[in-house]
Amino acid sequence: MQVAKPAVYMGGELYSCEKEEENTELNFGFCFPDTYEIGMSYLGLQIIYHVLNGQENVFFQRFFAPGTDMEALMREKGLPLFSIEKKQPASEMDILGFTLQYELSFTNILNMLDLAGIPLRSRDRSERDPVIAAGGNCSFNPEPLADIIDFFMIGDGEDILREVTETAIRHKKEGGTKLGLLKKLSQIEGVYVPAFYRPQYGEDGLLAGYEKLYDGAPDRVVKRIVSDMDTVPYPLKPIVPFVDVVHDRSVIELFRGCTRGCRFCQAGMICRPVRERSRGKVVEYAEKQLDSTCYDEMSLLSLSTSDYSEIEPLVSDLMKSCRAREAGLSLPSLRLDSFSYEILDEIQKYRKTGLTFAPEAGTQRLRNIINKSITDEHIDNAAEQAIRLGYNHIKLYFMIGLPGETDEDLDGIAEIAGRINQIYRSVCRSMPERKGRFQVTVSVSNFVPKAHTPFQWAAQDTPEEFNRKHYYLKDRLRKIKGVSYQYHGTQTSLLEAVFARGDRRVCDAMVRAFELGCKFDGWTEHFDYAKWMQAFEETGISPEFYAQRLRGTEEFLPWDLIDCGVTKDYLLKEYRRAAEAVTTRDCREGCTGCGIRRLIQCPDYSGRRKDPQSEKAADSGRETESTQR
Amino acid sequence: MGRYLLKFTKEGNIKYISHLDLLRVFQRALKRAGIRLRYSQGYNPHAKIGFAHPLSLGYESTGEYLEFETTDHAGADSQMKALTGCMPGGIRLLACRSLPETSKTSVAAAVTHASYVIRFHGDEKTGALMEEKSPEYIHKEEIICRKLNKKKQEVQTDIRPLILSFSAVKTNGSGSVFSMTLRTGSAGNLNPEMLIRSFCEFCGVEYVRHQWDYRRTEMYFLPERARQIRPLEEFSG
Ligand code: SF4
Ligand code: SF4
Repeated sequence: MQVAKPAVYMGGELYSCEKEEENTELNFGFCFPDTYEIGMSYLGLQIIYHVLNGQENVFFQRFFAPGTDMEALMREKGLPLFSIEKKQPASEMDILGFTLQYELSFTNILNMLDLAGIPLRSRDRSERDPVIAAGGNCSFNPEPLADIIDFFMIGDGEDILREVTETAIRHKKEGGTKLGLLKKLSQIEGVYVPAFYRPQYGEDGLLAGYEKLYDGAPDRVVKRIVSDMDTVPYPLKPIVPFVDVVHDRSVIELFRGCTRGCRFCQAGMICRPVRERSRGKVVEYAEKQLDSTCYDEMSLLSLSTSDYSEIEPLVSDLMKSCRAREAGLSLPSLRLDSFSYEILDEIQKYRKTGLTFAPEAGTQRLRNIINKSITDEHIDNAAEQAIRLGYNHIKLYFMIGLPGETDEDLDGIAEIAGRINQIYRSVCRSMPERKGRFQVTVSVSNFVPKAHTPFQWAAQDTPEEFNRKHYYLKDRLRKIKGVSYQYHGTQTSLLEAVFARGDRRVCDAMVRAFELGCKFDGWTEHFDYAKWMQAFEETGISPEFYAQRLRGTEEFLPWDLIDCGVTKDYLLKEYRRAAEAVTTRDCREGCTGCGIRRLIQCPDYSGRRKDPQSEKAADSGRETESTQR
Repeated sequence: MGRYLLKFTKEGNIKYISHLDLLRVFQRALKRAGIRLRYSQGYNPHAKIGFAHPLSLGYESTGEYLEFETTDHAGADSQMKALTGCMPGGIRLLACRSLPETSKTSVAAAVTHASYVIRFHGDEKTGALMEEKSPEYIHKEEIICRKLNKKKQEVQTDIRPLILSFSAVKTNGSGSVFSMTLRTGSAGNLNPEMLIRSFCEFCGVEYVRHQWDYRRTEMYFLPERARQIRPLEEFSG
């Protein structure tokens, strides 16, 4: 075989869609800037596929980044980027829409355009080229891609995609230029057309604001919010890949948003407010999906799954549905104390893997700074319960380089790991039947300050400082038996930070890096730091300026053009509270005034559980991140 | 309880999905068809289902076999009927038979041979040369090939005893076709690609993978006290 995994380019999977050309009025190419195996594990793709192909006159086809072996073959044979469904060249699409899930996939966007034979920059493209669109979490700071992407869709995709495609179909029938289309699209709430805004820089090199070039464009682009999770379409017949993809299972989304307000967490800010799907719908969808796909595993997806208002009855309903279908239910890290022993025992039968917690920081002081409401006691209790239940592996997630961090906080990480080991030993003493190997894994990632968070002004540690901290921590942890240590590369974290808060100027460096051969930057085996540094140097872009500079709070930020619902004032207030190590309550216990109420009503939490104990070791914000390798 | 042997094809694009992926396709299809698989007892239960012999990625086949055990006992015909609508394109179900529930040998252990039809679609002259050379090749006393052993060391091995038959097939112009029956299974196994490589070398032709289409056509077993191998379709033990 010339290509290692030919099946991923093959299509024809169960429930993939092949439409008749005569009914098609708009060809929409969905581009996932990573491989098939990763893209097909992404729920957003399945949702959009379902929504758009549900429109009779739109043919929605998938495009993925080919593996390097396939790419070499395509370039050698002069084959352009083609769709999975009909093997149609990307250049024949009316709209090509990229999903932006993580910054390190940006060069893959360039590579895919290049493979499609489409000029990278908007200004170099002609009327014949497809309109290039993007959406997804990274579009909340669209600027690094502003020269590449013709229009961005900010916020929940379901409604806006329908409006965009309808507008595009009308425009196509009426005939008109690309510019005309972009003008029309800019009238849709949530659409951002970067060409209509010209950045203005001050003499100090800082961004001073934007000059609007088209009067009809909005002053600020307000994100889209789907308000009712029970009426929004959900894929009951998701595509079932032939090959073993990253998450080969049925997935049900319980809710969007999160009320906890961790100050580093972008998803927690930009996905507000919480919108739940009713329990009845969740169960209905779960059963229908299991029946249609015949998967033998089901999982739940949300930012902080255990915060679902009726989580316990829901899990017990789902256990029944799954059991009847010979499927296992896999649950993300849940607050153990909120479950009866019975249910946990039930879950156990299916789930023998380890347990994960994300305390994020090693001491209470630092956890207060980041507003992560977990205490040592919570961690210890949960660990003890997990050990009693027979878990043999506990994985702890931490971040280093958080604002206000000192070496004591690193010591704190080691202490937590050590304490869990002690707990294990004491449980073993009281439960002689509790045997076997036991392992604690400490997984550490580097803090990357993100747009639209209270830490959007903060400086990132230098790579040298990150490395020092890693070695420091590694040294501490070496002294504890049964603890393993994992950490992520510091060089990629720097890059992530540049693009997470970059302005329009960083695009040149990205294009240059691509020209030098950079792609799949999120993959250790492909990432080439030296080339990136060369690209920064040649284009005169200073990565330090973007990553390590402490921004002034009065500074105009590149993403100030985007209204994510949470106000800048609120973020600033949170930033200041962080500096004083003051926590802010989970807003289910009372609104803390983030500003999203300007756009939509927040759910009424008064009838729901309000116990202070509710802030336990739960967190799946991490899980969404961990799928990003 | 029921135990079945299903014969099926793997043709067209679906040849690109691997052995393990295909097993998953069958498991889901069986589930969709409402056929419940039996699970093994023990600490790590697994479904009782398996192929007679793995097919390499990229090979087509018109003679694949799947053995599975179910909790209910329906007739083989009704099982096949239920399954038929649940298979992806490229997989046709050809036959299904019931096997005795208890048996000494699994289908996988019974397989002794497989036959292949392999088409060369490089240039015609090369094809004609190889057709001409094929009798000479197969009449050699021994055919020595180099291969890697388990320790990744190169060793020499004689593959002649593993070849039951090998010949060029007359065609009407569409490339050169070779037909062969080779030892297959745990007691002796020859991968057809290894034979083709060695044959190319013998003919002084460079082996280029994509010039060759591989298709398995049948698998065989040796019935008890018999001297002749029989198609696996007749397996009843
Ligand atoms: S408006 Fe109040 S209740 Fe709603 S998300 Fe913001 S802080 Fe929470
Ligand atoms: S880290 Fe998790 S719990 Fe905290 S705000 Fe983000 S999603 Fe919510």
